[in-house]
Amino acid sequence: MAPSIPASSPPKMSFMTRLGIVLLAVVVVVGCLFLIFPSDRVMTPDWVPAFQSELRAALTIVSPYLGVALLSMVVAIAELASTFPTYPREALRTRWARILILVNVGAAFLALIIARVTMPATNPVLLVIGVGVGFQAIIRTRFVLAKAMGGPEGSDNEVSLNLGWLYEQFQHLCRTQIDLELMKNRRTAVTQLLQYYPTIAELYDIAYYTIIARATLTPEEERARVEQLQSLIDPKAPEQFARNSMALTILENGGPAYVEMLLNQAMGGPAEAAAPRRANQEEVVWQLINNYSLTGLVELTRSLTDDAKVLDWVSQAAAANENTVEANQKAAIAYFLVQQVGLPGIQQGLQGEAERPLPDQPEDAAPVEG
Amino acid sequence: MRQIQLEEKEIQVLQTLDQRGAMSPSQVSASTWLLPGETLNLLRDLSNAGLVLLRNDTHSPDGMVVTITQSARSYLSITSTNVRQRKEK
Repeated sequence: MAPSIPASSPPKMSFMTRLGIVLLAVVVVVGCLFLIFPSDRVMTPDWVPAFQSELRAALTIVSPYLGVALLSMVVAIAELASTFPTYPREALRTRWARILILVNVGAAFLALIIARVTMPATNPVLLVIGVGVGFQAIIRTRFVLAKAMGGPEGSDNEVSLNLGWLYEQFQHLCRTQIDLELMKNRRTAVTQLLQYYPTIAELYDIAYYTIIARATLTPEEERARVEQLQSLIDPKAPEQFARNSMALTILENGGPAYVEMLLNQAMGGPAEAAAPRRANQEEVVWQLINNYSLTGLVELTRSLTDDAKVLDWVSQAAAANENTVEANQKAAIAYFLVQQVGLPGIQQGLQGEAERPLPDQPEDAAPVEG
Repeated sequence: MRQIQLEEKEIQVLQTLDQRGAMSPSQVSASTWLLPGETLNLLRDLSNAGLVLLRNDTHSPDGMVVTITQSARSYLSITSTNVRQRKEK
């Protein structure tokens, strides 16, 4: 079964969704025109001007609430986006992000009601701005009333009123819950990256180029991340840990959309054909290693090319050598043949070989696991 | 900075790794036309000098993977700058 793209990837908008957005926009425009257009000056039914004035009166009451709701939503979204800079879209889609935004909006509504009750004569525009911006600032503020001279900030030697304490606790809870919700998507993305890019070489290369291709990293940040990546390829790091961490590095540095593009490429998507070609090459290399002995590979080379230099290199590479092992010799010859003869040539040769029995195939040769 | 004196083959291996990224030692052999045993010896020496990182990878056909380190990249860029300056003179 072909695996699907990680759940973190943004879903494509369906035709109905797009149609709904267009219709909503049309309704909003028509509504605005209806409110602005003076219907009492043209021939309209009697109920239209009355309805229009009632609607205007209702909007006068509702619009301050819409204003503070909008401002508090912007503040909450900005907080979430800055807390999860790699996955802002995915973070906003979580349940706890919605709760955070709703609590912000609810608190702003409450503040506006209190302000309107206690200061009824205040200009409504000023009230909206005051509550929308001021309230958001107050619930995140810690007032230092008295502080020891020269004492460090936040020490015990100061008297402070932390109005933001409660909100901080709530923010911390939301951040933890959102992070946990995102973990599921991160794990899926990492697993799929490992499935399509199984070798450490591929993962390392992608992770390295993802880091150096980032435009917003400072040279120091870039160096630190590359060093961290190098520590993963160090022989001391366990193999599976290294592979997982490299896949996570790709996700953290490239983001979910980039991972989706990599997976599409690996699945043979329309974006690029480079990854499938590489997969084909690996497949042929494994086929050569598993199906041929060293002498078999030399024979195969003779049947594929007349180039004396190539034949000489393959013969020497296949010769017994105490510095290396058979797997390394076979792999080197296989890659060499792919480079010198080309994939189509080898595939044709393999097809021809398959049609007749291999005389030098060692009976007890155990195939190398791929 | 530590002085490094490398042979032509070692520089060739490092340049291959710099240009083509991480790969298995057998791919290095195939790309440089060096024999597998010789390549492994060179890579072990370079690894001891801290210029490449050589580790096991069960998904690689020969069970190993090698990559160039940042210090080797710096060495290559300095070397290529020196060569260019000498040519300009």
